[in-house]
Amino acid sequence: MSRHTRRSLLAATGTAFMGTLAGCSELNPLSSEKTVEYDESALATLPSDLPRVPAAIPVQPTSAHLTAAHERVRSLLDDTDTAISAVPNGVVRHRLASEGESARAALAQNDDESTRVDALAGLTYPRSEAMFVHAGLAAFDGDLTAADIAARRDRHHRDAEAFLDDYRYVGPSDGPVGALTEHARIVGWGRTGIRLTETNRRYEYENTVLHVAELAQDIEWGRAYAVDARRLREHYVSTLDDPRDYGNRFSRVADDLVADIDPYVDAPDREALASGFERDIENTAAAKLLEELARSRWSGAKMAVEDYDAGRNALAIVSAMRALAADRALADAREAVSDGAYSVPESVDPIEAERTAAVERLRTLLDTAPALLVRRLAVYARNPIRNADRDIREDTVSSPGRYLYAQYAVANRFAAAAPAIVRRVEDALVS
Amino acid sequence: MALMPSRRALLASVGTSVVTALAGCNASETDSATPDGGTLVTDYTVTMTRSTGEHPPIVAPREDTGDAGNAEETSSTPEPLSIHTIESESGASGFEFADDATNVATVRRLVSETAYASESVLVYQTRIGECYRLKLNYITRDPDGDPDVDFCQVIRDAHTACERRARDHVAAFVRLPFPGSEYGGFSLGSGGSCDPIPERYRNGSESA
Repeated sequence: MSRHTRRSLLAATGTAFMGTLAGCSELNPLSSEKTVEYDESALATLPSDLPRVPAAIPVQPTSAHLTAAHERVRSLLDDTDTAISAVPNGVVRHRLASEGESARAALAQNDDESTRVDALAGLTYPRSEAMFVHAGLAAFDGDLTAADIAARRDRHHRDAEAFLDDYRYVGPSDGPVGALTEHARIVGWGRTGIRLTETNRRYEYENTVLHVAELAQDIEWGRAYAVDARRLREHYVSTLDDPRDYGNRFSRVADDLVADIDPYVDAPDREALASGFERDIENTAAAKLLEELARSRWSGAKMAVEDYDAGRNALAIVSAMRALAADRALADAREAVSDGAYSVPESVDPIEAERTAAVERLRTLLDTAPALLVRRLAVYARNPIRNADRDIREDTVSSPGRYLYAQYAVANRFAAAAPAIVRRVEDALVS
Repeated sequence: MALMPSRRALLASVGTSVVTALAGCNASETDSATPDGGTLVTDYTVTMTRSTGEHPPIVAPREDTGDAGNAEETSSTPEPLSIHTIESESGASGFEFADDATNVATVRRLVSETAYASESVLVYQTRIGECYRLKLNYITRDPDGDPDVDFCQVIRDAHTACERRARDHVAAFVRLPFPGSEYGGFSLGSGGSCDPIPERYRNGSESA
């Protein structure tokens, strides 16, 4: 079987597997936990301070760039309230008004330089919501049709693709790590811009006005990503005194890393993950922990190979980093499970201890150099803690001894494994 | 007037409740409820009548309670028709419509011009948001020949004056290209969104 054919098959299988994990795992009655009653008040106190992960790029977008994104939303929504109120169909009127309100709400974000890249990313969808309103009203007035939108889509899709054609990874002569992370963000945005302006998407509305609106919304969403990528790159390049092309170096590093993670593009086998232990770990935190780390490794490997095959080497490197860190964490976790760890806890105490250890490891990781590479991985340690904390606050946890314990353990194990991978990638980039 | 056999009414309502019960599940779960080997029915005709306010467009006939032998439990005012099949000219003759029902002439023409020896008419009446219209999404037949009619709802034209929470009534008359004697029951989907025709029907054979 060819590499691509095999990969396609595996991807399809993997999707089904992920669906199983995401949709049904928490519905399992978890017989192992039935006899354990956890102190709900103790659980409720678990969420506490969580370190923020700063943006993993050396050069932030300019203030003018963020202002332009704000202005895009404002200009698209300019004078739309009166026009919306004149739409006779109450459902169409409501949809237009709702999108407009959502877009306006996003304008209230902070313009702090340290979070500017996140603020800008947070304005991509609001720009599309504002376009939904703008285009919908134009369609209502008979000034915009689906055919007009098709031409617009073609234009933006071509522009988005052209941006990544013959892309050059230029950076400062002494900073390949910074160049990698900056370009990973830029190319990531560019890739998203291409995907969102593709035509093979399914749409919701048959109503003419709303259909034109949703078509225009998608294109604006992709356009926003592509425009932001292009503008951030222009700004980044303008900050370089003595630009150096890192294309060959990134290619070499990607060759090395992707070769190592290629065995993990196969969807994880849950039964195989749970086997090889002297005890039965089914329905325990141990099983969940191993599944989550294996899924993280698979996801990173799959994305790395896709980007590598497409020549997007900066993205391939950062995704391969994730896969390698998850692989190392998985090996460590298997060893711990073999030693008896992560069975169903008898009280909240072990869960709390795991969270404390995870947060401490995350802090240590964030103090590790080089910070920009570390931050690319730190999100995979922070997110499980954040998600578990959120589930506690929203009272949606059905199996604390399995789910919460495993989520904190994933963070703990990932944070512990990351520094070695960061060092390896840094060494490869600077050598 | 020859009303639909009670057995079929029962089967039809069961079919509706099954599909309704599945409406919250994902596509694969809904699809799995339909037996494999069915065919897509394309040669059908559908027309709709609509009324505003409390009264549905079909005034008569009304629901057959099917308990004529137990008069004490029979409601004095039968419920408005919801699901019904017309299998003969005599069955077609008893339809009466509300004064404000729209498109009545077209509906009467569809019913009266049906060749009941080789065709039949399925009737479905329901409430619908004032800003929505009912759409027949697709029809399939299972291996036993029973039709599965999938309706969905579409937002009406933006220039149509309507309120988001107001409700109308709508009745659909679907002429099927086979007689009532060819099927013992049917199922009816009345969910909200107009999902694509399942892949297995799009690539498979089509009935006449």
